[in-house]
Amino acid sequence: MITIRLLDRDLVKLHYVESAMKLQDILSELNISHDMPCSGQHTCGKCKIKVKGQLSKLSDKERSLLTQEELDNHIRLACFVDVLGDAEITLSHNDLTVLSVKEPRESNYKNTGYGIAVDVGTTTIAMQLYDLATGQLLSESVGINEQVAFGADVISRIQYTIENGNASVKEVLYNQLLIMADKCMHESGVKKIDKWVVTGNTVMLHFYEGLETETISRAPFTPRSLFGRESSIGLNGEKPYLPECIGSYIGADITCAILASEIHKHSNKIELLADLGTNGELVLNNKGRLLCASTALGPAFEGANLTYGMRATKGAISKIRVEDNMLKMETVDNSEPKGICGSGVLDAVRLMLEEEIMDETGRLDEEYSGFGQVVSRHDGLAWQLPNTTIVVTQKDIRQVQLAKSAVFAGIKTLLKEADLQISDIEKFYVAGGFGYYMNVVSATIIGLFPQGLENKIELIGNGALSGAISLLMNANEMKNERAIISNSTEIHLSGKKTFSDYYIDGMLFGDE
Amino acid sequence: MSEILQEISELLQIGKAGKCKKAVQAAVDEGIAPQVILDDALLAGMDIVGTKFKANEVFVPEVLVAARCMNKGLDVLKPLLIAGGAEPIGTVVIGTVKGDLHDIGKNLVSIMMQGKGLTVVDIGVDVPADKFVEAAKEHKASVIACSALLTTTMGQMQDVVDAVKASDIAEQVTIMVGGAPINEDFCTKIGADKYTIDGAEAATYAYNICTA
Repeated sequence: MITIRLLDRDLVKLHYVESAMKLQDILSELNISHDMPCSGQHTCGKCKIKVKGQLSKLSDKERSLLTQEELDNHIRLACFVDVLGDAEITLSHNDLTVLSVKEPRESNYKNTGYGIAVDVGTTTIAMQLYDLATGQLLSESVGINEQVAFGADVISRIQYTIENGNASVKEVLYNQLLIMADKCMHESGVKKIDKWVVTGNTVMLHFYEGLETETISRAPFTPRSLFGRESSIGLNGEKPYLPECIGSYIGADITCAILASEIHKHSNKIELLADLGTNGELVLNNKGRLLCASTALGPAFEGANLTYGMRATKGAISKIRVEDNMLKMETVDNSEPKGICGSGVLDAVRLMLEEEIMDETGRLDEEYSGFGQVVSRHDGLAWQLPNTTIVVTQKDIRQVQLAKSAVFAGIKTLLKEADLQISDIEKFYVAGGFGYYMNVVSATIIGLFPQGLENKIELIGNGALSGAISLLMNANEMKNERAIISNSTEIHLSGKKTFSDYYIDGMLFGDE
Repeated sequence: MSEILQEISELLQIGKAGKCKKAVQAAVDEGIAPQVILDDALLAGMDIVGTKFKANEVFVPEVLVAARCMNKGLDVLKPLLIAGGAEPIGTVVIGTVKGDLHDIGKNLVSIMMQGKGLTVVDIGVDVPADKFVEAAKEHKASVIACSALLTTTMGQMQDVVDAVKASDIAEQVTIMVGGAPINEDFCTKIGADKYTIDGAEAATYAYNICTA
């Protein structure tokens, strides 16, 4: 029995087929009219579809019709692909759909009953319901964390609780988890949840239990608890397991992402893991010692701080590139462009640099005309994209410079602390909502990542959720969790001169 | 304006510290008064950088390299200025409040203020309220400037205001506040004297206070 997960706007549909089938035929069965311009003749290269899982190998012909960037983002041609085992098909770009998670690795299916794993992100909550005996995914739910009403980032939410108490923030989260669980149970026909794993950053877990968070927000950043235990706050009568946090700003979500990437098992390797979401957490595996740091990445790449920034929903420009001397744009849902989301911002900044719409210091060229043009607005100069009213302003560019430099400097600082070089890194795992849709080449060219990592990157989707699922399914994973905690150290980048220096250096574009 | 002064200003604007320092020495050797070199070359150049920064035409790194030039130039001029009996325009004590470790913004403000000819005493980050008062007394400062970047630490500014008001320098000191979460209303609420939105405005205001 093969499970096909279909991501269609904000719906997740599960479909089961008996055995291996042509992707084209599966799409037919699902009544999806996917564009097949040359009717499956393998000549046009236009039946692109985002699909991952157990698929037939990429043939030379298929490869010649796709770009490396497309392949990196799991784009295949529908007419070429056979689905051989469990797979996931994405019909439209909507980052609010659950990111792909790794199959629970070990078959420790001695459990019975049903379990829910949930990643409480600062911005997005992702939940999955599993059959604990078979390891089968039964349903899932994704939603914007309703705490956004109290602030977009953890600091502003903490400020809210200082002024208004912890009750509302706790209640909002609790209710949302119950509603999402209800939806999952309804969809799958499951009547009772026997086990829960709730992961998230340290502040989110504090909010879940209604603990004081004020001391986390100011030096020396002391948490009330690092969890790693059952919570006394039950969900539908069951007490969830809250995995252990590494520090105030390196939470259980990172512990779970580490579990998912398995870098804790590679005690003879040097690797990097980045979980890029609202915050950007970095973990350096230095032959078994895990050095962790957190940077504030969020608003610029989630679009919040930018003039036309938006989340990756309908109308968001998610890709921009120059091809055949024309500007090509893709929007989420293929609808009219309304704004730009994170992945689009990376591409746009890269394009501006390569086309010299701006110089290496990030300054717009007021004379530029070509792909769109640079215009003068009330708030300064801006690059106006062709055939739209959408602009990227000088101020937007500065915001991106600040944001990208934070991650760049974080990586460089961790390496410096461990006395290592970029060239020592053997693998770079990138997790998180943003990481899944990222064009890694654009990210490197603009300096979000230091040069030299491009060919070592593996996008792992929602690492936090993957790790939570493995804790749900496999009793042995808790040993791994303990091992991770005992081998991890959190360092605070703010207040470190090394970080400040790299941060300043990393702000411009061009040679490091 | 003489060529050498123009050259100093331009070198500062593009951040060529070594060449700038040499040019400053050359100007001294030519017999140009140190105060003139400071005002018409170094400070004039920083002023242009400050204006461009405010307009987003140049960015943080460029301001910092320009500051390096200014400091190198001051290395040459300071002993001459002191020997000449030059009066400092005024002194500012600047710091980031307790619990907050952010300093880049504070450093930029400090540079802009120095760019106006003010003497700035930077007491660092995570600074308790009483230390602001202590430093102001020690350095005979006319201005105390507090920075905070988190909504959760800005409350400390109230403590600074209270400490100043309870001290014997209350009349002599103007309290300035700044940082991303700060605004006019907050400034009024805590009883501070002035909120400025960026380094350029802060420098102008501090300069005016000191020269009033």
